Amino acid sequence: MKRNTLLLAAGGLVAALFILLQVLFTVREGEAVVVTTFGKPVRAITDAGLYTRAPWPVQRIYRFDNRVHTLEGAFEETLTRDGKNILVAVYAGWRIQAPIQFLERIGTIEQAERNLDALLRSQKNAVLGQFPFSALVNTNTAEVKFEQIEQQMLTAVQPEAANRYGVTVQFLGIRKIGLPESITEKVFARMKAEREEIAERYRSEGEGEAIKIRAAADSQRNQLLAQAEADAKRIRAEGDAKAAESYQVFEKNPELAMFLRKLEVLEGTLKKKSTVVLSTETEPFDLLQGDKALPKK
Amino acid sequence: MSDHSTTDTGHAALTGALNSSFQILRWVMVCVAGLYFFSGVFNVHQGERAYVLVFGKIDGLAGERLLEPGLHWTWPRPIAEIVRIPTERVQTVDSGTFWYRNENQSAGTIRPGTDGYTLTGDANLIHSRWAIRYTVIDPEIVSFRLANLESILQRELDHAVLRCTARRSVDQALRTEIEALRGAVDTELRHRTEALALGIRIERVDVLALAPPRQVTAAFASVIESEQDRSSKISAARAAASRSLNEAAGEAAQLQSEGEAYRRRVVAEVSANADYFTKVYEQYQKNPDIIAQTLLQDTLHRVLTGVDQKFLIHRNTTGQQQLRLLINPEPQPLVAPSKP
Repeated sequence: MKRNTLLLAAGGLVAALFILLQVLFTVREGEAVVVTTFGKPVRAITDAGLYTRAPWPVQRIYRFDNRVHTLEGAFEETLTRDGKNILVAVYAGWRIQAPIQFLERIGTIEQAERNLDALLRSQKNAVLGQFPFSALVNTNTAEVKFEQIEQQMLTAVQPEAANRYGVTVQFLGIRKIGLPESITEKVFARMKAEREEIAERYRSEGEGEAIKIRAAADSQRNQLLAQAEADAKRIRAEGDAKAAESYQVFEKNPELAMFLRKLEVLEGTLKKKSTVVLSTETEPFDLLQGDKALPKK
Repeated sequence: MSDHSTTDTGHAALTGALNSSFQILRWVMVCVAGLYFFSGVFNVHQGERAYVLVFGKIDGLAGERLLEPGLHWTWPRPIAEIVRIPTERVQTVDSGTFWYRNENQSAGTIRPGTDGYTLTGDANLIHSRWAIRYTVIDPEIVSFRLANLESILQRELDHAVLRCTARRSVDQALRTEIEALRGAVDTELRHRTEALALGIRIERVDVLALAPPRQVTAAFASVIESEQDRSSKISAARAAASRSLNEAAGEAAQLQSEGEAYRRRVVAEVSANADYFTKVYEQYQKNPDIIAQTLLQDTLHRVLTGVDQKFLIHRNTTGQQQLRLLINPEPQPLVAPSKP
């Protein structure tokens, strides 16, 4: 009796597990599930948790990754409004918005990316055709219209992606901008010419700047020396003026003053390596004239 | 009777064997149940956090869902699932989208898709390599809302680089504003990741490499050379100017100093002369002739003592005397004395 009970319990457990596996299913975080009844989608679940269903073959479940996926568009040629042929690659972040519609229209992530790529390509060409090349590449930042271009693409892609495929494009951006291979050769030639011009400009700037610096220094030097000379002259004049104040004492006897001055000049001018020719009548050489020079008694 | 007895014995043996089997099976089931129960014990390591999904749904209340490092228990599979997320570790994403692939390429063109590059604001081409360092701040978003965070980040980084280089000239991007370019990409990326709510914090954006296309490397080197040349010329001129001005300042100081010295000397001399005059004048008043003659004779004595050549001419009877003087005679060459 005891043995039969154990057997029954084990059998019942296995049967219960089998039934539970047939009627229960989980939806994981970040997952979307579509339940079909005889192939017709009847329920979409995006909230994680445990759910029930009718066993196969009545109901079947389809699981999709409901997280944000990135899609890289092709790097291909397009024309700008001013007729420039450029290569542009656009990327987008998308996720499933309407799982039932997604299942019916597309079915797989890979197929969704193929379809979105075509949609992106078409809108990219349409939007870029409205803008000149200078709206993408410009040193004048006010003329660069990246945000406007990307926003227009996103606005154009979003409703179509939602209506056609049941997905929402959450963000979009330009990832690469390039030039056709044949154009790059011309760009390099221009870059070389620009570099040569810049190199030459630097060389001449160096010469010019050096001349300017030297000229400025010369001017400053001359100004400095002229000022110094003027200062020195003023100082000398102050000295002369100060000295003139002492001349008043000579007024007591101008003849004596001039006599003393002459003696000073004489002593100052006749120094070494001088040749002097004097008459014997000059004192004290008048002594050489004999008696004529003797003092009178 | 014996057949019946044999049957009973066999039946009893079978019953015993079955009982033993069921006993073993029961213990096996208990052990399996125990092992299954304890297989739910798990460890969350340092530098990571974990979520437990019970029947696919994150377990726990908001704010308590993220499990900290340590030992935890949850229901084993298929009831529960553990999702581990690296959080504290700074993670890196590199982008070589705009770098060249073929190291030995010497062609005059760039084939789209082979070598990467960006266009600058003045429509030149440059190569660059970048990296982002980031930390996960919202693991729930990273794990359950994004299929591939690295893929998104790489594209967002390329997007930011593209936008920022497209606004700068090639010189700014490659030489004069490298840090400004890096900063602009950093700012752009931070705004974008916040707007998209990617659940991460950008720690830093780094420029790993910046280079002109190899086809024009020599031309760029020439510019750098000429720039060096310009700097050298300007530096030399500045040095010469500085030297000239310093010399001029010295000369100016000398001129002023000489003027000052002259002033002091003149004042001192005149003052000394005045003193001398005053003293002589006192004596002169007493005996003018003798004082004057004495001063004259003393002066002549001092003067003529130092004079090299002195000529005294005696007046002849006619009162006229002709003199012939050889001024500055040529020095006679030195001749060695002849030996006797």
